[in-house]
Amino acid sequence: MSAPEDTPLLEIEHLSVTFGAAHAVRDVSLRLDPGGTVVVLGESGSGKSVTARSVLRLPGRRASVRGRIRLAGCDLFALDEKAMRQVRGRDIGFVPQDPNSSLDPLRRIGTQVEEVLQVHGAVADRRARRARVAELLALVGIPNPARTARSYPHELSGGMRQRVVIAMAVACAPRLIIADEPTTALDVTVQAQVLDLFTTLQRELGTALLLVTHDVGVAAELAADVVVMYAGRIVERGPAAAVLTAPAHPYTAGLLGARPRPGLRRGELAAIPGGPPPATEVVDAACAFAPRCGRAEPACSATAPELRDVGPGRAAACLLPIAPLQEVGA
Amino acid sequence: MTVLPVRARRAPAALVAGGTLAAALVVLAVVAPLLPLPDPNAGDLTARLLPLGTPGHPLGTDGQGRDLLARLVVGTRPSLIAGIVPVLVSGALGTALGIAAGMGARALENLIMRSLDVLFAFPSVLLAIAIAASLGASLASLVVALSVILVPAVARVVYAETAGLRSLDFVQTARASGAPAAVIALRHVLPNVLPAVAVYCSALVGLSIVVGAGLSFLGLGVAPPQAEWGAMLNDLRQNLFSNPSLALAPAIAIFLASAVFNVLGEGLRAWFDVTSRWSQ
Amino acid sequence: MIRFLVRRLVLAVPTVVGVSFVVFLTAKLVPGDPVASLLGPLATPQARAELVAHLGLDRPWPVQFVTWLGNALRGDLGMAIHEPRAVAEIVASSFGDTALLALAGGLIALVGGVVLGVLGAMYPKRLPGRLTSGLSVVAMSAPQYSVALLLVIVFAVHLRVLPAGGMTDPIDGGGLADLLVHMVLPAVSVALIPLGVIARMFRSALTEVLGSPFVEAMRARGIGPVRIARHAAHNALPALFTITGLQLAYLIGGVVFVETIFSWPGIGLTLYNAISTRDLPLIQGGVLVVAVSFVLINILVDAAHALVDPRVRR
Repeated sequence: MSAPEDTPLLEIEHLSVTFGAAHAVRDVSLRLDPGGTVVVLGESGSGKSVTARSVLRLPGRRASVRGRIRLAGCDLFALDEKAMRQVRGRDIGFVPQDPNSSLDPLRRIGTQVEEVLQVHGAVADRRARRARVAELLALVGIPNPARTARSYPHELSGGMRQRVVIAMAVACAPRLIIADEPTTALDVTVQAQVLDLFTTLQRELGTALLLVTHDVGVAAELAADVVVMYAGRIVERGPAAAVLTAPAHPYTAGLLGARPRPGLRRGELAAIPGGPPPATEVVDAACAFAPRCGRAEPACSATAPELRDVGPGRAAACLLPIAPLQEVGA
Repeated sequence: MTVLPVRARRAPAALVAGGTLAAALVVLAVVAPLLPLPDPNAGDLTARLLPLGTPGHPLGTDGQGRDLLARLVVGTRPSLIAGIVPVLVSGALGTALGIAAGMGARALENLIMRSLDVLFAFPSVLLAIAIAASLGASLASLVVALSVILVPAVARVVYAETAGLRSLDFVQTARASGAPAAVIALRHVLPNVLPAVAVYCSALVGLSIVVGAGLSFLGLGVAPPQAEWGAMLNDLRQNLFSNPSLALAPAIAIFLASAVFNVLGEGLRAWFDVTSRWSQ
Repeated sequence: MIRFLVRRLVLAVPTVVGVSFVVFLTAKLVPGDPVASLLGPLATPQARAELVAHLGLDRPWPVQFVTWLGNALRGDLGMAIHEPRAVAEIVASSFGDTALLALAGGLIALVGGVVLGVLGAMYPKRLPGRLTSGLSVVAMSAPQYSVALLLVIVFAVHLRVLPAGGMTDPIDGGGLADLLVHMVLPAVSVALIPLGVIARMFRSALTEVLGSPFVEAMRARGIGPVRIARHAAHNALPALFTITGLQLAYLIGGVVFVETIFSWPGIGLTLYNAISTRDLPLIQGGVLVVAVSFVLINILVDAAHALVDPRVRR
């Protein structure tokens, strides 16, 4: 899978995923450059997780997928299952949401990390593999790698377990890490450490990162490109610094307004009224956010807005985008 | 008195079917002696081992020439008594022990639960055999033996329910306001564990019928010549090679009676939705 | 592991004492005056007093229990009433036959239950899946004695392919082939219902494991189906041991009925004969030995559980 320098590492084109009548992901396109970072931001049920898992071709049971996903120019949907298994874990590392349930509870940590190396033939020699396991555990900041390798998952803290899971994701030096809410199950203090670890690993290994989260703070911290999803669609995208300070889409503005911040007085925390529509009820010919949107006009319920440029490197899917430099959360 | 809401919905089909059939069985057991059937204990040595479908003896006759349909119908009563009475006894006793262990002092809790552990350490059929054999073959000793083996199971369920209730607000409030433990147990805990007890016990009836008939089969139930399904099965087993089909009727009766109560239990479980009550 | 076993064995001591105590109590349940029933109505007061002293019935019952327990520990369970043999001797001679049948039944239930459970988990909508659900519904209501009788009717009476009894000495009898032929029906009768229950519960345990996040995470790491199956099987094992432990009591209870029906010369048949002759010392001795063995077997099951699951090792 060699590719010219200018091809993006990951290209998602017109991805649609349906589960029966539920349309979880609608026409999502996205690109990620080698070594780059994209944060997909959205509420639960916005289709962000399904999008990320579709890259691994594991969108979930009974899913039907349309569109195209290319990794370094290679069409992932054209691979057979065996080749796809090689891509998973070797070219793409995956960090699932809950480290507490994503390790086999009955096997030692070392054995499980080693299994990833073994399956992908990364290190053939058994001795060397053991040494590599210790290296990996040290790389993700586990204080006593040799002892941790001998322990069982239930003997570690949640943060340590997530580090182990990350070690497994980077074991074969993948070009892309996909992380699905990697900090949600962790304590706040540990969250920051894990995010730091991602940044460090990216710097040292040159890995690209596709991170899915509902937490605006995580997106701000990683200072990456942000993609905001709502009801299966991308509603806004652009550099974090711009999107999170001056959102163009009312939904993004709502997300930022709903976020508790220091210095906020009582009554200023603005929740978005209502809830996201069920994936079975989103219609194609309207803005899905219109019913909850304070700025909505009759036209919003009659046409589905396309993603349009709203600034340098920025796009929003809104008929009435908020003008740049307008006050956040207004 | 605080009673947690039990989510009542339309009665599920299993409850309606199980309940109707169980009621029909009970009615049959009550009116059995009044039905126009031959004397179940009158043998006729000229009419031994008649096959199924003989005119006048639709289910045939046994080795002593007794009418099997009459014996099957009359046998409903002792078989159901062995199924239901032990469950009532152990239900009451197990509930009392379970609440006492759940609400009482640590020492009482340990005493009750460790004693029940000992009963749990037995394969229950063997414990029932030891008790029923010592008391002598009769329906009463069968009921006692079955009650003893069912108590630990009921008590454990009630104990677990009580432990769950103990931490809930209204029980804590009653405790903090100085209500005596006995009052809390009767007014707050008992009404809330009853649905779970009802569901669990209805499922135990099927088991009790099967084990009770089994003990009768081994010669521990009603005294001959009285009819009882398990005892009939043991009688007819002697003629299995010459008349195998005769033994089917009591075997099927035991299976069906047990199945009816198991269906009823499943229906009650679905109706009360007991398992999901604490999950919130 | 050895520490675990030792700990469990030490903890089992009070249980075994309690079990013995319950068996001792059942002897006290016998209605009427045991001395009068032994001596008959014409006994002199002096003969009565002598017998009471000889049996130790004049001492307080805790002392009676300790004496009884001490004797039992030395292998003295008293004399059978209707046979001039010691209870311990009768029970010991039939113990091996019962153990053989229970072991065979247990193996069939375990292997069959696991195979059916795996197939049911893999093909929930096809025949194996339906079979596991159907079998377990029947298993809830079908008593083992009915199953045994049904098997006799089908295989011994109608098809005449297997014997319905006639096993006199399973261990030193007519050789392995003869043993197997005679053991098929009893062992299957004992096993069938636990097999159904094990199959259903193992199927749901396996289905749960296969749907658990760590399996999904392994897929995302590119680990192949064979390795995943191995991890899933390992993770379903603790549940399997729990289920098996629960089914053991049922299996042992079933052995009593099945031995009776097939005249298999084990403890169950001994108990059945003792019931018809009201030989209470023999019944109590038999029940005690089976109950204590049951406690020990459960320790072995727990040990196997601890062996596969690091979370319960302690």
